[in-house]
Amino acid sequence: MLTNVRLISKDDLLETVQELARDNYRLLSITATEIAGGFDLIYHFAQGMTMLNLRFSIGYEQEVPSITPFYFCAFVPENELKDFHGIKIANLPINYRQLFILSELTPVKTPLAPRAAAASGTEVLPE
Amino acid sequence: MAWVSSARKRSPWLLHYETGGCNGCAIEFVAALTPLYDLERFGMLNTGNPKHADILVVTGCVNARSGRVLRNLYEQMSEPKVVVAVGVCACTGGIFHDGYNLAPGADKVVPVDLYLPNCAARPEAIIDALLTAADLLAETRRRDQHAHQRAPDQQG
Amino acid sequence: MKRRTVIPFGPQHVVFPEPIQFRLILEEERVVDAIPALGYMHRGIEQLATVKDFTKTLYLAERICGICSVMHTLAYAQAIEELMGIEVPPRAKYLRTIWAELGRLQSHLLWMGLAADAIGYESLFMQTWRAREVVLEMIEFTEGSRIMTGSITIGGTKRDLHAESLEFLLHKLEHLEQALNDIYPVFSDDPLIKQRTVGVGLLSKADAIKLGAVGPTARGSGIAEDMRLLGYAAYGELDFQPVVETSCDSYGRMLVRVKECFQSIELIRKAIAKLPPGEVLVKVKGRPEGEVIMRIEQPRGELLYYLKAGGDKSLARWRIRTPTLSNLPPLVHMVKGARLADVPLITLSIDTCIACVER
Repeated sequence: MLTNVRLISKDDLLETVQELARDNYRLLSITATEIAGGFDLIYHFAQGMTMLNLRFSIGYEQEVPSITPFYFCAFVPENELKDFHGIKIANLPINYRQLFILSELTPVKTPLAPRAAAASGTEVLPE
Repeated sequence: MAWVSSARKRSPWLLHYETGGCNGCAIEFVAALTPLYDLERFGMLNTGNPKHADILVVTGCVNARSGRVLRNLYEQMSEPKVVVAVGVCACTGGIFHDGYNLAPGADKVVPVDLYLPNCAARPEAIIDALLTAADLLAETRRRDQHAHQRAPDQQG
Repeated sequence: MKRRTVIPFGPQHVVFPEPIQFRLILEEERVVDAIPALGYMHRGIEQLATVKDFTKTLYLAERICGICSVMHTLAYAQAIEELMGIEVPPRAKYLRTIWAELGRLQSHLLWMGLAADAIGYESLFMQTWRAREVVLEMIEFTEGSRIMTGSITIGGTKRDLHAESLEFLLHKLEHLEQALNDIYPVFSDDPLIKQRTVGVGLLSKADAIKLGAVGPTARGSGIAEDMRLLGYAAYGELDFQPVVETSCDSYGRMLVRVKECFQSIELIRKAIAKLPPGEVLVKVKGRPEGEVIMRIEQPRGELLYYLKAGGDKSLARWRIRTPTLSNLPPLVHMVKGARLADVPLITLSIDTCIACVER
């Protein structure tokens, strides 16, 4: 089950992550799920075998700060968020501009956020 | 000139490109080269250079980005050449058929001569397909057909 | 400033069976920066899972990667079982462990062969893959197929092992151990291999933590982390310690993998000795609901699944974080400062699995 969840707000993210970096936590990944009106974000950290998950929600138009100052490796999952969900990340040092895994020839944009894609008028996947 | 065609049949060089998919067929292709199956006893050699190769082995489903690379490799190979699609993903897209990023089958990008559907293709089946491909390579009539074949759809 | 050159390395390259591209920025022969370019194998599995039936997604999970197919079905089945509250019979747990370890053996042997090939040691490559065929024979005999076995399912396993199969396994394990005993000294002592790997691709322990290294890449840098210690399947009942090396280079990572082969053989023997009797499959009814995180140890490191289901026939979200994705930032770090000719070997030293990365 999903345990050790700490609910935070978007504005507290950088501060909390800085503390975790100081305590030698490892960043495992970042997961985004499309919910009504926006995205649900979970940042997975671990110290040894114990996990810690930071969770908050954002609206479609809101921007998330990049955590690369504390965890450089976060550029990989953050570029994935841009690719698959179209989430805006502020101050991303290595920015693939939505071409990290998807290519310019991919017929759909933001495949894991179909509602956002439908709202913006780009081609949507058949159900 | 008969020896040329015979030499082609007895020692075709292979170029392998994995276009996507799960890697299983790619690994089985390499396994076919190693001691238990020993593809090299038929004079076949795995080369990394498309200009040296006679047979193009395609494994995996062709996606938006790799289709261009595949097309590029195919065009660099000199005539005569044979394309073998190994695995169900290379034939039709397989389990990923409905994916948003795929072309359903390698034949949408390059002309395919031989289809080997399997998930994953066994080394014995790969050897069988490659021997058949070597036979095709020696057929001059077929070679001419290949040269005049219509350009396939420029998908991917 | 010296003149800089950009060399595209890949996507088609003899060293890799899979396509990945690195844009290497060079100053003469030294790499100053590397930018990975992905997307040559992307299929969109996470999206397909939101359309397909959750029982059919099991087969999709198996086809994320052809090398660690067993691991993906294991992780997916365990995640769904946790969501639905299914208790798997103990015999099935042991069988899963045996098959997972066979999968690890063939994956590590595959990597050892490819590494020998990258070094240019062709005969060692052939010998390692000869030993790998012994493992594949065991897999085929007990699971029915070489790569896509479909032996692990939601609620247990689809096959059972009989006394005859167990005897076959033990017999073949002995063969394999002999072959590995012949191969091991070459990997650990051969001057050619040492010259190419010792001190190449350095990753300090602090960097490994900061950059999120997992699996043998982390264990080669002295981090004793192994998800099998979480005790999923039957690992909790089999006593073992993670293999750790402290040399922090390609040599250390290589030794971790070679030693883990012996560890896997021991684990399979222990599991066969302890194999409990009984059923191997329980009936599964209903649909999953809730959220779950599943972490298991793949041959390449920690695999992380996040599943969210809303009681529908398909999943709401299936996030797959594979080990190679985590090991990419450490790889970029290791390549910096290396010579161009060492790049293929350093890239291989994290055991890249691009099919996993791009899903």
